[in-house]
Amino acid sequence: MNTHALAVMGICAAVTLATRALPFICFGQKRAVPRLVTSLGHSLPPAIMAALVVYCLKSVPFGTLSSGAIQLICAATVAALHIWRRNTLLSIGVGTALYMALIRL
Amino acid sequence: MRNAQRAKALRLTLPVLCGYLFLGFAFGATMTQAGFGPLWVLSASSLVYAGSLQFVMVPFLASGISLAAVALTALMINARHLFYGLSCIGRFNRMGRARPYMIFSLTDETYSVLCTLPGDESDGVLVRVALYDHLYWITGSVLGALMTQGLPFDLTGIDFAMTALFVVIAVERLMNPGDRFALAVGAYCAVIMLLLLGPDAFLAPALAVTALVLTIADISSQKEAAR
Repeated sequence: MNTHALAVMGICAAVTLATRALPFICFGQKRAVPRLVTSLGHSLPPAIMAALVVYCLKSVPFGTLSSGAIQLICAATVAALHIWRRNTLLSIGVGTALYMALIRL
Repeated sequence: MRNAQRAKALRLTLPVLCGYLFLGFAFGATMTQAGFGPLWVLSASSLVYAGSLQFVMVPFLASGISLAAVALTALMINARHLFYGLSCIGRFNRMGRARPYMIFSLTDETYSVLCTLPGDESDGVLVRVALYDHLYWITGSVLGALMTQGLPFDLTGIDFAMTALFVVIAVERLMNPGDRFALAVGAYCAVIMLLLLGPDAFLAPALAVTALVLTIADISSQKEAAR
């Protein structure tokens, strides 16, 4: 049994629950929410999403030229398709299908 | 009355059904292909129940990453959930025994659906919305895990669905001028940290630096406004 993997998953579960529960613990009794907290509440989500995009493409600077190019092309396709159609399933579906096809070439 | 609540919750969560089945399937397949089979997938989707974190978690499972780095990464990726709770406090506090589960299961999608409901919506509908979303996610994940072996074609590359999901969310945010500064900060910090620390060690520090930069930016813009 892989104890490290179990620990990783346990921590993820605990931290996820903690982040969801914390507002109820801190402000459940109607204490005022600090202004900085509210402001970070608006700015953190998009910043983290941008960081996660970089995370998904993290091997691009370090891997082969073709694998990097494929990832960037497919990511760009997803972005372009989404700007055009604003349809989440379409963008994800087409981008993923394209990627799965290109890596088999 | 219960049937009406079931039907209503089903109707409200139909878009989430499609998204979670597909993305859950991609997650289940990805995790299984990384060596962690259906039971792991079932546990992950039942107990962690956080899409983006679950995807990011998969490479962590087999690597030697420190648990502290896992915790920090999990905290930063899920930081936005801190704020979902803020707008649900009042309503959840009136829900008695269902409250802990409602808090536990507050994902992006469930939160969005709940936001569309009036304040006097019945507990029965609210709980079912949360529960159905959770079940869709678990079902999709387990199907992905089980069918990875059984399908006539191989699913290599399906984990690109995660990249695609994050790109879609980022693009959605890009459409909103107010979010572009934050997007830029996140992207720049991540790229710089990636080049400095390498692909295996950069995420948690990148997210921490991002939070720091955004805090400084916020405080200094407050000081500007006060002048």
